[in-house]
Amino acid sequence: MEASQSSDLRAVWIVQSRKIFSRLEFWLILIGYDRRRQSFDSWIYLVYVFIFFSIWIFVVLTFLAGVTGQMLSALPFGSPFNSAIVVGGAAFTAIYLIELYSASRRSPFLFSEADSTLLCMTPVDRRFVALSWFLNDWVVRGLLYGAGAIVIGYAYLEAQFPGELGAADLPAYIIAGMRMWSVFLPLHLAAQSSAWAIGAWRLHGRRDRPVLIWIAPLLAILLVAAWILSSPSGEDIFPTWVWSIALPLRSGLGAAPLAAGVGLGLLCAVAGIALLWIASGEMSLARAAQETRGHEVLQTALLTVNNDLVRELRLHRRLGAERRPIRLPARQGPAALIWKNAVRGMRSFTLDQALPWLVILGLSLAIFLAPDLGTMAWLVLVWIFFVGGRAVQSLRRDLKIWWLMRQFPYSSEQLVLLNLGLPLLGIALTSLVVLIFAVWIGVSVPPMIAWMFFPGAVGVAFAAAVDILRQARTSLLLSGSVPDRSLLSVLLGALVLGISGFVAWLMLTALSTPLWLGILVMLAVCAGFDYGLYRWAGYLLRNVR
Amino acid sequence: MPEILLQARDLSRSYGEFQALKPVDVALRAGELVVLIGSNGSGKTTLLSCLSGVLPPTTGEVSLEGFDLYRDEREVRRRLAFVPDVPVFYQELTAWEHVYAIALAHRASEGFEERAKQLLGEFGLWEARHLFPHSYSRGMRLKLALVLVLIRPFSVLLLDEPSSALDIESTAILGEKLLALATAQTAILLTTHDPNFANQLDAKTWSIHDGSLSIV
Repeated sequence: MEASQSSDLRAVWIVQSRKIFSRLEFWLILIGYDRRRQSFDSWIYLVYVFIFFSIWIFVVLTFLAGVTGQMLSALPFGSPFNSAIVVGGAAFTAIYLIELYSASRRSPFLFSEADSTLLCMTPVDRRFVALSWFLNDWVVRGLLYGAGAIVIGYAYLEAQFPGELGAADLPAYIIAGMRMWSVFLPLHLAAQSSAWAIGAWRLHGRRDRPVLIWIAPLLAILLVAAWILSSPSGEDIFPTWVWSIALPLRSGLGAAPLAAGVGLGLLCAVAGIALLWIASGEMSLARAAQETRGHEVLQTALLTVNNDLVRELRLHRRLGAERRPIRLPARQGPAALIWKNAVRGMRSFTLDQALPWLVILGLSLAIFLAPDLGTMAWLVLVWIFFVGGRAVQSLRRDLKIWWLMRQFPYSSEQLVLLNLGLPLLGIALTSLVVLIFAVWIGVSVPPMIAWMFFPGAVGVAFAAAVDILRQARTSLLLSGSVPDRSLLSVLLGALVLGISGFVAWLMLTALSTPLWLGILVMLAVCAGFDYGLYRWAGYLLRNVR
Repeated sequence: MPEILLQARDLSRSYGEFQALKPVDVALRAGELVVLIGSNGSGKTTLLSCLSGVLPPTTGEVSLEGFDLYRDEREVRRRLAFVPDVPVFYQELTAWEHVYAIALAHRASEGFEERAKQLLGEFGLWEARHLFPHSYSRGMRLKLALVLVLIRPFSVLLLDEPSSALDIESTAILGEKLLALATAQTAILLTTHDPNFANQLDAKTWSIHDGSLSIV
């Protein structure tokens, strides 16, 4: 190897090794590996972790295999073997076509901001970059893929001997799983490397190659057309060519020599990697970085469960760069904030945002239908969680723009109220719909619960606001980081509902007061809590530390 | 002597053991234009953030025309305008909608269209008014933040490095605007590293070093 190639390889390895270690950080901690001392804390613990995870993974895989095995027996392909060929083949082909299509549209090589400013600007050999990025990605996908292959192997075994397998058949399980795994892994390596080779070829020079997008759809059409046009021979339900290309699958399932399947897979893998090596020689890293910078940030945000950032990035994509003004009547004064929140809500509304509202609707109805007090209490707790989450969404979004929020000419209490106003209106409407529906379908609606719905929801909303604001810190708000709710919001909400309800129950049972008086006192207690929480939230917003 | 519009007494801010701003007394009079200079990390942004109420001080009080910064929120927020060095905006609102919302919230919708058109035009944002700020450059975002404060009434203006990302033309326009505001008895305190901009303003200079403020 030449000196320049060796230094290229070292440069790529320095960058890539950091990525690999940061990816493995969690697992290394889990197995007790000390990176500073470069040794394991305890070998006994390592053995324990290995045994624990082996059993855990085996149990999960056999559970999935049980379900898949029943599916293989039920599918109308004549035998579990044929079904396994169809399921395995279809899954493999579909994943390959998706990977191919994705690579032909956007660079499969994801580069971060740091990569694009450091690595992509250097004259490092592109082939090393391509290969190391590919292998880093493939290892994770390969694990999932391998697990899928093992599930099919187990499932076929279970479909062959339904209900007959026990602990004594563990070796049979291991053999069946390993056969499929050893055949599918090189096949997946081949498939992914060939797809990435197309992606690398697309990135040659400055010219885009839109024609490459059509490779995957054309391949799909060809496969479907070939299936339809070629007639099965004899008793076979598949066309003859399917049996030929399904050799690795048959080998994995034990119907052909294992060496043939593994050999073919390895041959394809070498060819795929060679293709990637050749195709990436002239690859433009700058173009790849341009295409994937945003995507890399999104991937990292998804990986670190940074939901706010994920939402923000998706919103940017969805909104694009420009919009005409929304025709929504606006008024001066505090109503301007409601207008602002309404426009923001309309622009950011997606179907997945409608889901929590449907959950609130369903939970509200379920509370009336609860068979006992215990079930009702659990349902109320879940209802508090969802109502609190919906109520403070707008407040959390406003807190992100802290410098502007501090300049609206309103008191902190007003700002809390203006941000919670629209969601509370939504919750009031939801409660009303549920009440009408419950009466309409003939469910008995306890008047105390019916009266408590809206004032209770107000208390829950303010409790959630208090929880957010007590955790907020100006230094974090200025960098756009807003805390999320903790368990305290649910506890506070439950206290408001619980104490108000308890007071009413006490009056009705111990003092034998009329129902209307009990409800009135309950509403008064709840309103007192609502007001107290409202003032508390205002105080916290005014004095965010 | 013009009346004091912004006054701070014994104002300080600490981050744990580190004292970013040592106790200072500040008085800003009507029509006064002050440039605050200091090296990176000297405490300029901390002082402005504490004066604007964006960051709570560790000790001290701030009042604006006699109104307490925290007790009399509404009165203070009507009178005080602040532009941070890196402004962020609502993701879902276009630049035009930002300006509209701020003008409406401050009850400054009279002649809004003309004023907004003029301000956006002067800062070169008119053609880009229907774009979302996330598609703006850093300089454009700063210009939008300036438009957002200039569209509404105020008597005290605090600006954190307003010329840091502006082009020469926009810096000159901003300078003219600030001089006109000072003539109209607005009190202005701004930070800058740009000597040309400071010279254009010909303003009183305060200096801050390691969190200690001194009037030059």
